[in-house]
Amino acid sequence: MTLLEFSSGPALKVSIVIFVVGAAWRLIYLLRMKKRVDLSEPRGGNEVLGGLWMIASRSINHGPLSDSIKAPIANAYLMHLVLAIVIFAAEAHIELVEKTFGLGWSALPHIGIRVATCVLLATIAVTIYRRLRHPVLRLLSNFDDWFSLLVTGLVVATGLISAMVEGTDDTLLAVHILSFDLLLIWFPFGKLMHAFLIFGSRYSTGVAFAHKGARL
Amino acid sequence: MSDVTQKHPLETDKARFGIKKPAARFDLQGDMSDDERVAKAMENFAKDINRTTATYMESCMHCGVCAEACHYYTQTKDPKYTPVWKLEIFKQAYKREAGPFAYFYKLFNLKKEVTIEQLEEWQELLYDSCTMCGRCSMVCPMSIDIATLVGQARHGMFKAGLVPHELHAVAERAEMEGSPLGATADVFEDRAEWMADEHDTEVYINKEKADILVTMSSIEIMKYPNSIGATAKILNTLGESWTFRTEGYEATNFGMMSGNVEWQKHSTMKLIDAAIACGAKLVILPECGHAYGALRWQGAAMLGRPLPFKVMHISEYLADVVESGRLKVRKVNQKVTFHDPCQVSRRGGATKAPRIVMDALGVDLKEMTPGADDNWCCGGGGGVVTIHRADELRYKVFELKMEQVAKTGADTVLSTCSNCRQSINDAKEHFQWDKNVESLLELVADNIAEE
Repeated sequence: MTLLEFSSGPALKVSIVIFVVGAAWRLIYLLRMKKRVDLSEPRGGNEVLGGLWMIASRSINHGPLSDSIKAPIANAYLMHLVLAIVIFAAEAHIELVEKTFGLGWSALPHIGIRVATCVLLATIAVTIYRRLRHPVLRLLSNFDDWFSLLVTGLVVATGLISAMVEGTDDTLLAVHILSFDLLLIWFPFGKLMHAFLIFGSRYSTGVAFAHKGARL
Repeated sequence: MSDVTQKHPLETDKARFGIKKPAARFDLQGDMSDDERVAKAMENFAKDINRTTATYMESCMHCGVCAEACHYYTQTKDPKYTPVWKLEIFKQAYKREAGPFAYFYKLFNLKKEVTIEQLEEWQELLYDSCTMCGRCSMVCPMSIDIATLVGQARHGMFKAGLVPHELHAVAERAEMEGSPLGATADVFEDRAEWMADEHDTEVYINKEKADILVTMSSIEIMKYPNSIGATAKILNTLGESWTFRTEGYEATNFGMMSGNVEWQKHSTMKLIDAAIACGAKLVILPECGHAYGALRWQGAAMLGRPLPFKVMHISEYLADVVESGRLKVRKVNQKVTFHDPCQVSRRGGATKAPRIVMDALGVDLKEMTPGADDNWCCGGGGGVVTIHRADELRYKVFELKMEQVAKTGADTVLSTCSNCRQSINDAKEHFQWDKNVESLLELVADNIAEE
């Protein structure tokens, strides 16, 4: 078995199982916890709509923030945007999805994906730099923050390199897939889970604020 | 450099030379061992963990955005005042003891046990430097309600006997005497009688039956007693059936602010029992921010079922009677700005009410920037104004408010919270500030239009 076969075969399968089971366990664990029942008289707003509105609106309305934080927030937006482009619009990724699930769609040209990947790496670099420099982030950062950034950066960087030297060496592609396997394994245990938790957290606050008639 | 120089560095960049914070300062209650304190803190914090709070604990991305919304961080630039950092040791305990992967965290000691030293250090962060104003919740990308979690952490701190002395003392006094500031039932009755004379109006106390139960805060009773007369004057003008009840007249809740759930419940139940006893359909809460949160939003949980009466902050009641045309007021030719009490506006949802009243009064309202739901806290909420060792920090934070007010060009700050009013007046004296803070309630009472 070659390294490529291993990374895209048994290693990927195990990673997917760990990802699915781990993420499901973390979410089900939370959902099974006792739910706080608010017995106070609501002011009148629709709480479910409030929760859903908070999920959507907090991505647009950032409340009373100073100008100094706006650039890092823009960087975070850009990072997530190009990440989505790289994941869902790269030909190799679409081919993999099509092969696995039989569902495909049009890919962006290679040059577009490469530019997006470079932008993505730049936003990750900015995030790392800021986390190293800003006193608040230095205080807050722990293993989870650094490892999540490292794994994400590794997947992106190896993906870019293997795409640039396509056809010359399978090892680079195998390393890219192995790093993706590692990301899948780490995902349920660390902060990358915010991709799912964001819905629960925002929804809970939206419901509570709508109950009070407070601004969402 | 000598040891003492390293241990107690001199602060030489201020007008008065001195040693800043020579040692970590914390207060202790009771004679528990260190291990007992840690166990109590964790056990009582864990008691309140539910789906929502656990989701919050799991969701923080360590982005630090909340720091930018916190007056303590923005005024000091000290990262320890980052709102979510104030919960760090409780997050640590949650992940180790109660989270989905607690087994692994404990087995491999990935999250260490919380120590007594950490709890002592965190006393300042949870009490002196958090007014639970909830401004951080407005900016958190995950919408984590940090103020709620700080309240929960205080439950653990109280049981561990780790509350700042002054806050513990006023909370204990409220539990023992019925008022944190000595406004006992007898004192209240005397002052109510005085205010009835002063305002030439009737003040009803202990009427057997009434539609409205009216409550006051101890700060009003002792420091701003005109609130009693002003409330009575308005209710009498409207011909309302109302009363104070000496078994439940005081609406502040220092049990809640200090973190003692049992004391919180006792204070709340006094009001609920008084309202039920006189058959009140409505309880009017005074110009007090946290009193509103304690009864309006947490009262039913204390009773264990929905409250059998409506609850309104006095500003909501005034907005109601002014808007419906029941109460006519004269126009007031005055330029003012309005300080929103965090617990009534941002966290209470009653932001519009005072503006309806001010509109009726015709005042020239100059809003602060940021204002309304985004307003900066006065720095005295959450029990912080009682903690003397926090004064320096509180004044530092108040500089933000002074800047905000100055930009409006108004000389008068109106508010609907006597605790904010007290904090602002204290800072006014400290800074020799030339602005005045006044009560919206009293302004309305002074300007009731004759029919």
